[in-house]
Amino acid sequence: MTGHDEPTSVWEHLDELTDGDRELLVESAVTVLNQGVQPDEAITRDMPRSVLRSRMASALSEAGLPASKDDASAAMSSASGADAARSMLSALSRVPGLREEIEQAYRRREEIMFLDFGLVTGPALMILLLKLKRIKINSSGVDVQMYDANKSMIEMVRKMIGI
Amino acid sequence: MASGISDLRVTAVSYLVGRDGVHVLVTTGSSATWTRLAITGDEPTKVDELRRELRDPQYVAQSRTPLLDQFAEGWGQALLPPEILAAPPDVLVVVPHGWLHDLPLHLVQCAGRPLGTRCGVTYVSSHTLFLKCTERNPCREPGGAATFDEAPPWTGPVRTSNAIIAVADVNQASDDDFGTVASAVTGAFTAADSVKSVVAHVSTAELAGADLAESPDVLCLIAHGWIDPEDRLASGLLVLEDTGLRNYFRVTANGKVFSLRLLPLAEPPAGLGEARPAALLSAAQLEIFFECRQELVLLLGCSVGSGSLMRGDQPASLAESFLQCGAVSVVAPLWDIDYPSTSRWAGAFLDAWHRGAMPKALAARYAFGEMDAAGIGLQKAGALTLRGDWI
Repeated sequence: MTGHDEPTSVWEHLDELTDGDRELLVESAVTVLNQGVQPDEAITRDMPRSVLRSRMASALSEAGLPASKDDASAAMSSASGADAARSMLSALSRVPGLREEIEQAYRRREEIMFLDFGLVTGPALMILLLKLKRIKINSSGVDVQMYDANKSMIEMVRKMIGI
Repeated sequence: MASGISDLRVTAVSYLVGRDGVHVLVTTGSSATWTRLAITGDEPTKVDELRRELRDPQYVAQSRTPLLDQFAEGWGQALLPPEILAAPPDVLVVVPHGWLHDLPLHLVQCAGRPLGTRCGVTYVSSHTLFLKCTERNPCREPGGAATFDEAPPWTGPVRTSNAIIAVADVNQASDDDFGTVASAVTGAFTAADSVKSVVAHVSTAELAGADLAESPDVLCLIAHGWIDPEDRLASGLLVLEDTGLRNYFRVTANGKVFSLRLLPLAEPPAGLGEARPAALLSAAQLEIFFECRQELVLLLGCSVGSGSLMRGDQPASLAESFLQCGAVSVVAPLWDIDYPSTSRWAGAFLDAWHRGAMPKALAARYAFGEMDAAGIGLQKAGALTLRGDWI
């Protein structure tokens, strides 16, 4: 007995997370997934919405989905909701290697004395999930396959934009 | 071993950013020399990128700050006079100008270690403000501090303090997380000191500024900060809403005491989603109504130590507001860091300052040195800085 309880995994409580904690987990997932793209393709928190929208359009196009300006706007808007965030996080929770890395990033981020006001990172996560099929984790060097998460993301977007 | 404050080598570096480059005036006890720094011209752009990296809590949380490393090990060195890097003084007073404000020059590597671990660094936005800070400092009065311990074990306490530690985490139902930082601060004081722990309200600032015999010489505020990008004076600390009698403050005019309602000059930001009713202790409120009398103010929260630059070369931060309204020295982070690093730095700093009677700049050097020696990265060990007077 150490007297300290091990915290349970955040993935076990996805549905119970507050809006702020869920946003933090999405933000942490974006940070980890940014490791899988070229530095100039990484998505930063201060990226203007117009730039995000054009990134979304090219991610949709790469995934073989309709990629007009309206489609990109619709995807952006859907990705900002709580339901979409839960679905994306749930897809990530099924990727071994990645879920641990994201949780670790989330725990470290939780300790920072920083208050975010209405930050929306859902579209950023959606773009990265549409683009990435595999990712090499920097800290461990492990190659993680993300085909299933990528596939379920494409399916989710198909439903969102009604095709 | 005790050392004398009057024996310390103190140097001031005052910057002037002009069209033809960056000039710096290096002032010691016996000389003053202008030097033109050998910079390449792309530094302002690099500074912008560095600020963007440090404003992103994810970079700091994951200890991945490549731009900060490049600054500390490379181009940042050109922003300091070569003689400072060759032979750092005991205390360095930095007076930045233009885009050099809020730049962590104390992190620049100097013979393989950060400058801030080799000399005590304090920042101040202008010579005028520095003089005001020194004039208010009771340690500079005849009979003030003369010697200090260079390292533990501290032989003190050599003075007693009267401190107020005010805590509010409006984003949580309780102040537990901030409480760990408050414990580290409280732990640096002894039974001989008077330490009062309170919940931070707008009226806490009035309490701290009250002209009372028990007016504290140390004020520690642990709360979230908020920077209004469009109106600096509407930026502030998020504290708990005042209720009942706390909702009034006293003003004396023509010998009569008036009790006036505390009305907020600015509202908390929309979309805050606070767990408890929050109020904003704004920079406007601080600067208009409150007179700060503290020898030391510790602002241990987010978004309190940096901000955009206003006209007149004044950096817009809460730390600056506290100096403007009367504090002798302020400790605040230049960017947001985690609870453990904040607790560790603040605890070590207060130990050295309060128990070792070290000048504040040397206490900051001690705290940074302890964290650096423990292998804590620059992004967490080097965020907290001293502003104002160095003693």
